[in-house]
Amino acid sequence: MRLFFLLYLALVVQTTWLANGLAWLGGARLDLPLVVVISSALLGGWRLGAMLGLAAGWFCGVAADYNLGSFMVSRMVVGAVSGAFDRRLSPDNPLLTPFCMAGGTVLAHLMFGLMSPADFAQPWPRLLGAIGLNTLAGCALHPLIARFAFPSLQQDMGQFVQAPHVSRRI
Amino acid sequence: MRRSSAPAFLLTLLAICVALAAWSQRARGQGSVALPDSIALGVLRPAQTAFAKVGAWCSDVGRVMLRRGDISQENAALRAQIAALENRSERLLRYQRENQELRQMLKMPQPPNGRLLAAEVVSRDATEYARRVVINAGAPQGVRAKDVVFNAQGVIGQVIEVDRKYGTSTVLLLTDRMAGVGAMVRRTAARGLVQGNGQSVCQMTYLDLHADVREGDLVVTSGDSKIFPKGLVLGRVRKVIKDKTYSQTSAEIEPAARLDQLSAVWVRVQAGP
Repeated sequence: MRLFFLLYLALVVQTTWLANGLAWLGGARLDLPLVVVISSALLGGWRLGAMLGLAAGWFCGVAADYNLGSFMVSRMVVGAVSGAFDRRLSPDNPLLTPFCMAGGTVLAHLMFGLMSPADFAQPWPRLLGAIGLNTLAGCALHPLIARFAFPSLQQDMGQFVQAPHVSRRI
Repeated sequence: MRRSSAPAFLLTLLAICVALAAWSQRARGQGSVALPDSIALGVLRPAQTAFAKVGAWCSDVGRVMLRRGDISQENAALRAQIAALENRSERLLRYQRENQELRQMLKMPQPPNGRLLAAEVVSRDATEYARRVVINAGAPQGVRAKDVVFNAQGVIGQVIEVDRKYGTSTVLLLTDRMAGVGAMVRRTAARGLVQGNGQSVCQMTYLDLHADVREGDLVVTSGDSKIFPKGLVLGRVRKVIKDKTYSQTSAEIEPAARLDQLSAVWVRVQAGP
C-alpha cells in the first residue's frame, strides 16, 4: 500500500512540478514513476516490480491520454527485469542501483519505441539526459524508498549485520 | 500460499494490459472514457489540482522575493500599457461595430464568435512523447472537442478530449506530433501548414519554393480550417529551409506562447461548427 501511495505521489509530482524538461539537457526530464518502479523492483523482487510497472504504465498512459498499452507493457517489463537483477548481482554491489536505473530507462524507451515507433521521437541528447537524470535521482531516492516502503527489509538488514549467518534474502 | 509460476504470472499481467488497453480504446472510439480510466483520473485529478496550485503559489512567492525591486517599476509600466490598450480596445470596438453594420448592409455571414472562457492548467505532459496539457474547464462549462485554446502570446492548441465527469479537458499543444494548423506568413500571406514534431519548435511545411519567407516573420492562422479562426498568432519564423528536390520551402516556427510555462489559458467555446 505504501508503494502504491509512493507511485501515486510520484506521478502527481511528475505531471505538475516536474513536467518541464531541462533546456540545457536537450529538454530531458526526470521520470519519477519509472525511478520508483525500478527502485521498488530492486528491493522487492521481479513480481512486485512487474505489478508496480504495470500500475505505473497504466497511470502514465491514462494521465497522458496516449498509448496506454505501450506504456503498460514497457514499464511492466522494466519492473520485471530490474527485479530479476537482484538475483544475478549482489545487493551489496554499489553499482547495482545506477546500473539498473540507466538500463531500465534505456529499456523503457526501447520497448516504447518498438511498440509505438510512429510516436517515438527521442533525440540522442534528450535520451542521454533522461538516463543521467533518472540514474542520479534513482541513486538519491533508493535509500529513502527503502526506508519508507520496505521498513521490514531495513530491520532484517540490521539483524543480518549483527548475525551474519542469517540469510538476508527475503 | 503457493505462488504461481513465472510464465503464468507474466501472462496474467500481460492479459490485464491487453484488457485495459482494449477497454480504453473501445470507450474512446465511442467518445467516452473507460471505467478504469475514469477511476484513475478521479484519483489523480484532485491531487494534481492541489499540487498545481501549490506550485503556482510557490512560484509566485519566489518570483516576488527575487524581483521585489523590479516589480514596482514593472507595475508602473504595465499600468501605462493598460491605459494605452484600453484606448486601443475602445477604438477596436468601434471598428467592430462598424464592421458588423457593413456586413449587415452587404448581407455577409457573421463570423463565428463564441465566448471566451478562462481556465487553469492542472497537469502537463505525463510522458516525454506527447505534448498535451489538462485544463480545469470541461463539459459543464461548455467546452467541446476542437475548441481553440490560446493566451495573450498566441495559439496554444485545441481541445481534443472533454471529460464530462470531472470538468477537465485535454489540450493538444501546437508542438505535439499530431497537431496541425493552416497558417500563413503575415507579411506576405504565403500559406502553409504548421505542424508539431514533439520538439519545442514547430515546422511550417507545404510552402511554395519561391515563397517570400524570412527569419523573424510573424506566422498567423490562415483561417482555412473551420477550427482556427483567421489571424491568431502562432509564432515567428526561426529558420527557413529550401528544398529544391521537392520544390518546396519549409520553416522552423518558434511558438509565440511559452508552451512549457503555461498556467492560465483562454478557451474559445461554442464557436460554431
